[in-house]
Amino acid sequence: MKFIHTGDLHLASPFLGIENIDESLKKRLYNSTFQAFKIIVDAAITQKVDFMIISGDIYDNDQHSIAAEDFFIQQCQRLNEQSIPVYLEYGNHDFHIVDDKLNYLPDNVFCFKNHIETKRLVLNTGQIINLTGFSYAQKWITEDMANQFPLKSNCDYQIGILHGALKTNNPQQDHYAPFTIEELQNKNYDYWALGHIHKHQTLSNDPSIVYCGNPQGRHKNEAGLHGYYLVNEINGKLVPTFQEIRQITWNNISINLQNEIDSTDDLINFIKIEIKRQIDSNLDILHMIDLQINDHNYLTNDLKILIQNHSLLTSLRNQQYDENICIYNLFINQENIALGNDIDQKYWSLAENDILTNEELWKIAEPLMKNNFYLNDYLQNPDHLQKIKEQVKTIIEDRDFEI
Amino acid sequence: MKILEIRIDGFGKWHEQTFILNHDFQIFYGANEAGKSTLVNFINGILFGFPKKSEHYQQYIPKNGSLYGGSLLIEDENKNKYLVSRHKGKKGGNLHITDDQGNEYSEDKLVNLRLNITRDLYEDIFCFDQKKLSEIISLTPNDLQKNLQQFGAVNSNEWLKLTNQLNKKSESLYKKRGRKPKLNEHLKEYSNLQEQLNNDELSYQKYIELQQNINEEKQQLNDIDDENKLTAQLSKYQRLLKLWPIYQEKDNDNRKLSESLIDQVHQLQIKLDMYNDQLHTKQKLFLNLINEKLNEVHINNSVNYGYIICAFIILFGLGLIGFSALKFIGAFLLVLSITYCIYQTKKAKSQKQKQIKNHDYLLKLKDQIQNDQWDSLNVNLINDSNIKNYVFELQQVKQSQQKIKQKLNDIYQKYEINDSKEFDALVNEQRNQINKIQLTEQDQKELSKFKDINEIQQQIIQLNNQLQSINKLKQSLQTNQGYLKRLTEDVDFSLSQKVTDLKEVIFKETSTWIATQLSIKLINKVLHLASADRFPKIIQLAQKYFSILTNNRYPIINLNNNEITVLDDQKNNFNVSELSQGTAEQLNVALKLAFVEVIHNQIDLPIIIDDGFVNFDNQRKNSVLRLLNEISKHNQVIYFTANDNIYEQNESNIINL
Repeated sequence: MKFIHTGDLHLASPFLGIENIDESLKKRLYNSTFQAFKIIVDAAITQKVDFMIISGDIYDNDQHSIAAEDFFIQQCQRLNEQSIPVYLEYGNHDFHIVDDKLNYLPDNVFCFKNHIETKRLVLNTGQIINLTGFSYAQKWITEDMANQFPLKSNCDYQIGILHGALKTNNPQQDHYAPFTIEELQNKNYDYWALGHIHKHQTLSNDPSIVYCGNPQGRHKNEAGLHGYYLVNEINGKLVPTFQEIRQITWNNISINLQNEIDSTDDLINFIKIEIKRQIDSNLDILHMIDLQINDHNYLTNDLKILIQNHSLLTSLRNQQYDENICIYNLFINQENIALGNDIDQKYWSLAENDILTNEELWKIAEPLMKNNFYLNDYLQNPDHLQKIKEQVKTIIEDRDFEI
Repeated sequence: MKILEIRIDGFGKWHEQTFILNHDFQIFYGANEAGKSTLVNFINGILFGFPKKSEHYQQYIPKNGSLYGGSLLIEDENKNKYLVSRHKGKKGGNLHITDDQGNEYSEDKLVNLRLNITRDLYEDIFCFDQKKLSEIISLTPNDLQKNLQQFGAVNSNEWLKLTNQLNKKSESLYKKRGRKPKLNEHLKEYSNLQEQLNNDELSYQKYIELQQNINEEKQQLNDIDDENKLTAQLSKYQRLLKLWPIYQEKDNDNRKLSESLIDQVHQLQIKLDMYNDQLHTKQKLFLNLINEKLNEVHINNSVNYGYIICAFIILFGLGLIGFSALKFIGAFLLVLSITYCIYQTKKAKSQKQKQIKNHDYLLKLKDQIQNDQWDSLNVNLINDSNIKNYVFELQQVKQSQQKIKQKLNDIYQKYEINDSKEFDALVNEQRNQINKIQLTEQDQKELSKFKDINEIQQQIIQLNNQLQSINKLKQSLQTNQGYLKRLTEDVDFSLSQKVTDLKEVIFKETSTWIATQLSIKLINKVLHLASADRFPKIIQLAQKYFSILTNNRYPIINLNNNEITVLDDQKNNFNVSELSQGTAEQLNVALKLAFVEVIHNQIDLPIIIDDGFVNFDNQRKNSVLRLLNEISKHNQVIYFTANDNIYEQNESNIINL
């Protein structure tokens, strides 16, 4: 008996940070989530798996897309033609009131309702598989759902499907069906198919409690390998093996300048060499590179300006020297900047405390926020506010400012 | 920064002249036209560049053709010495900077040395001349503050320059009601995309709706009886409908006219025909007979009558003959014949009556026969055995015929047929139909479920309706699926990414704009803080200086709203415009000197005074000189004057021009 565990597909979700790359690459990126799922379905068919589990977040409710729906239906139909059932539940991004009467997915797809329920699958071998799970009906679930899962009973294998995050005991953060590993272990299940965390990982081995991660990383914070899990029955246990999907990977590369560099060509060459050293571009994978340059003191002011106004990046990309490499972001690593010199340090500090505050920020941004509501969310995020403050320091530090 | 030496190669009237400034308070004495202002301009020219012809400064090009330019030996705060030379050339003159090791430096060094100040600003703050001093009338705290802000912090004016640049950048990004700035454009673009997004949202909702409808319809189609089954049922009922008339013929079970029955009926019909024929012919014959008889009677009647007439005639004859002898015979014959005649007539009458009766009766009979009134036939009154026999025969035939008829009628009634014609028609029909359709037992069973033809028709209507609604459902399903396909094909997949990208650009530009604005605010705040700190210090110092200069006449300087006022020792308040020219100038000097003093740690440049204090009386002049002496202790003062009273003060630090 074997099955595939995947989840967090986020079909048709747009990618962040790629606004500067050219159209064909953008298309490739945008299609990668679809392509990844297709690869998984291909594998399911080739491997002749007994069933597939999708542990939530197939779509983003914010990104309603006919394309995504249609594609998903088609892929499920492919599985239907091979008589492979799909067990899926909806997560926090695609939360859904599950109503069988309104369900138009193919017949082989079984959706878990909004309360914990167990679905039963009898294989050709006669083995009985119980699958227990539930779908999110709203964005947050603060109660401990894992507690309410029934104990293993009346079957050969019981699999739990849970879209959520580990308990942190901080009520401000426990918004996604918080659970503890112990709770899961106490149910005596044979496998726990988790969803929500995009980095694939195994929380425990006996039984296997596994986050499948998303099949395709979508931004620099999701660097590293992505794929799905193929779970095999070995000696009465369900053993997961990670299967890599190689399409597009995100790489955060840091370059240390060792000498002074004063010409654009020198800099570009240095970058190319460094990238080649750090990335093996022979495999047919598209590497999206976020490039950080350290030791900016080795750069002339002119070069710094070229970097900041993106001309250097454009030149690099125009050279297009390797089609498996795409540098989509190039920036200088600014260490913590302290403003002012000795004499006036106190004035700078005072002024900073007064001006570099959220209130001042929002005051300035008021005309913008009033008419463009989507900016409100952006400007409520403390990370973004911090970035803006850092940007202020950079502006002041870099005084040779190009208009 | 200090100027140690002034070396002129050629400038104005000066030609290859060197002045060594030994003292921090260096006085140059020269009468009018001695070249004092020339020197001042030379210093500024070396420091800031020689002016172009078009600028508002004089060029002082030497008239005697000597080399234009010269150099200054300068010492910075670290006591490093630099020789700054400038000679004729583009961009303010060819500049050379060397230190005492012979190292060359770029212009940046000069900028550094003079602490990045512009000529205008330098002259504003550090250069005192008559014209400037008399401008105190227009001096307001704001001007002071503005000036102060320029020096409130290190490189203040550089920062202010930066804020200007930042402002320009900020405006190119976003203006509250702008259209062209980048962020404004992008925001507009986004709101346009919003419309598209809304449409997409509608499409999506439509998509969901369609899918759900299609799903519902599919389920409905599944639930409804199999269409094929219904179609089969429909054709069955339609067939039954056709068969109904046939079925209707038989009562209960046996509506069919069996062949034996048909034979039977035919036999009966034949017999009936036979009897009818018989009856007909017999009737005819009989009628003939009757007619004959009737005629006979007529003839008899007429013969009888003749008889009588004959007898009468005979008698009459006899009578005539026998008038004599035969009278008695004649009478006797007459009586005989009369009696005979009477008897004959009576007989004839009765016969006649009888014959009439017979005749009548025969007529009646004839009538009856002709009218088929067989039942009331009564032949007893007729003594004609022939006729009787005939009637009897006729009656028998009639009876037989009736019997046959009755039999036939029974059969007809059983099958609800009206007459033989209908029967024949029915037989024909049946024969025709039987060629096409066989009424099976199954059919008969089915047909027996219905009471009448309407019920079958009802069923047919119902089935038709059902089939129609199934069809409608199917059509609707097809249409919906068509819509769905079109919807899926029409969708622009890239819109979502476009929107996200645009959002990212907007976020970046917003951040930059906010950061820029914040930077401007920050810089201004710093300058403000720095200057705010210094401002009271300046007023304080100025107060002190002013007091000295006026011999303590005005001990207090005040800043109210936007005005500078002074208080005298009687606490009387004086507006600047209320002071005498000299006193106002003294105030100006006090403020300027205080200013220079307070920002000394930022800007350390020589104070150059070009024959100021012209309006001061001797006493005030002395006060000023004393003050300047004090100040020169930590700030170089270069003082040009045409006043020879200067010699009364100090001699050592005067250079004679």
